[in-house]
Amino acid sequence: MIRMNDVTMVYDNGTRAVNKANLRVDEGEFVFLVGASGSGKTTIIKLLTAEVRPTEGRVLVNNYNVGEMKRRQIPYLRRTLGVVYQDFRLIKNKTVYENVAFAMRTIGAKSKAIKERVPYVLELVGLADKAQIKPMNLSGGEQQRVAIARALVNNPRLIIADEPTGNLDPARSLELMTLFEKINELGTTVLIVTHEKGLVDEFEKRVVMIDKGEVVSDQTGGYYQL
Amino acid sequence: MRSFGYYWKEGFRNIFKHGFMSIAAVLIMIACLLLTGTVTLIAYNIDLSIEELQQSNEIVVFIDESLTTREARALGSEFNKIDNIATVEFEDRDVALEKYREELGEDAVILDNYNSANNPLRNSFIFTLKDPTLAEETIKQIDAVEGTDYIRADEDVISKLIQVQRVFNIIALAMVVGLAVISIFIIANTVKLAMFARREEISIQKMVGATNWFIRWPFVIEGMVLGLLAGGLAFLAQWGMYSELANIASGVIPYFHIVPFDGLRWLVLGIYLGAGVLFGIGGSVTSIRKFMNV
Ligand SMILES: Nc1ncnc2c1ncn2[C@@H]1O[C@H](COP(=O)(O)OP(=O)(O)O)[C@@H](O)[C@H]1O
Ligand SMILES: [Mg+2]
Repeated sequence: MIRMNDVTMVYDNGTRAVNKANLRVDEGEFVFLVGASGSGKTTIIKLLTAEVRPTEGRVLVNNYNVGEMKRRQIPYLRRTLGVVYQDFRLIKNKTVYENVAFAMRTIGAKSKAIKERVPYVLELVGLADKAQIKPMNLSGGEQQRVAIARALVNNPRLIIADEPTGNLDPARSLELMTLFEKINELGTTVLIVTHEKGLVDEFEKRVVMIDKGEVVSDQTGGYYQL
Repeated sequence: MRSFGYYWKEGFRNIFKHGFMSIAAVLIMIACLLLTGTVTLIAYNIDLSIEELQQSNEIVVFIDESLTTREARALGSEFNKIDNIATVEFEDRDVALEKYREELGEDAVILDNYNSANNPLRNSFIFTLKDPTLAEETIKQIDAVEGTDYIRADEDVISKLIQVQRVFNIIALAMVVGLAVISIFIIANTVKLAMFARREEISIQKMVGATNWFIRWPFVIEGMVLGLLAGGLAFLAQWGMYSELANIASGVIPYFHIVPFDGLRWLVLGIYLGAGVLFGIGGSVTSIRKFMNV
């Protein structure tokens, strides 16, 4: 699923965002990736989605070697992933349904498949009755669930979320994490970046902690220190 | 190409979404195509006129009246010595008079008082040249033969046309290059606007694993459709303008033979549509390349 071996990532300006990091995530796991702001969490996500390439070391995601793959293979790696961001990244002038369907059409899915799959994932995230509404008329929590539906619609093996609750109040955040837990129970591997200590503590999950680009702890049971 | 329909739909959506920009781009492209096309068509007509004049490039020499017909005919051997002369044909003044009579038909009465004794016409030679570009030199050589009186050649017209042709060819070439650049630039800007408006969608498409070509196609189609539209409309406008311009041109340059548009229609249509597609795709690809690598 995910294998990072002694991975270092240095940005063009010399910032060493990831430093000799090792991480292994297996099929079906639920993992929190935690750490202070600027510790390199987002850079690790970018490595997994091939937005950036490792400067050193090896990154394997769903059998794609991020460091060595050809540019034109990147879309095919991304189809095995569902990514969710803090700012939702929905298309404003498309309805909830269209936003989700868009992700399927974009990889060349047939209309018939889209018509079957989209209502199913909207049901899964609890938005079946909001399908024809535009994102601006939804709450933050609902918008994030649209983003999760979109990440799920192409049936990825791995869901990656970068601070998905960053814009949500605690109650909505908890709901959202529960949704991720449900998705995980349905068989999808989940990796969630967050720095909300309280939230992580609610769930008895594996927690990987990053500091200055290094993995400083990796344990199951929630609690971590900033 | 499963998403063929999708690409076209999205391409057209881009066009209509920025309707004003699309119309402006098409109008500018039409203007570019018309300017280039008109100059090129004029240049083409000049080429044809020159060719036509050169092919029928005859030089007529009238022989001094003091020479008898027999003496005049004998000059043929002198003319044969001139290198550049391909054929020499003598025209007997009496034969010429009879021909003239025939040509006049009923009006021949005005020649009733003329016969071989008081023939107003002169003996003449008609030459064709091997190399028309050397005509000037050849005329000098003909003139040097004793007994030649008056030389008539189309050479003046041809040499003027050749000068005009040179100018027009340069203008046409400069225009093709300059206006192609403008056309590509304007399409590139239109497509850039569409891409900018859709930058969020594009980044989401990349995120969920769209191939680059999937993202590009609608914009390529947008540019292509705008180009085709401009090409088609420019063709119609050119069709309408052609005879008007032909009149003006033939007024400015005498001896000018204008090719009727009917004979050029498919060629012009093909070139306009081809140029439209080429500039359209060229423009969108320019924008896409800049945009996608960001
Ligand atoms: N595009 C970039 N260019 C240069 N430095 C960057 C870039 N993105 C992030 N960084 C730097 O890399 C380090 C890690 O950033 P990031 O991965 O975003 O951390 P986190 O997500 O944990 O807050 C920070 O010092 C940040 O300033
Ligand atoms: Mg971050």
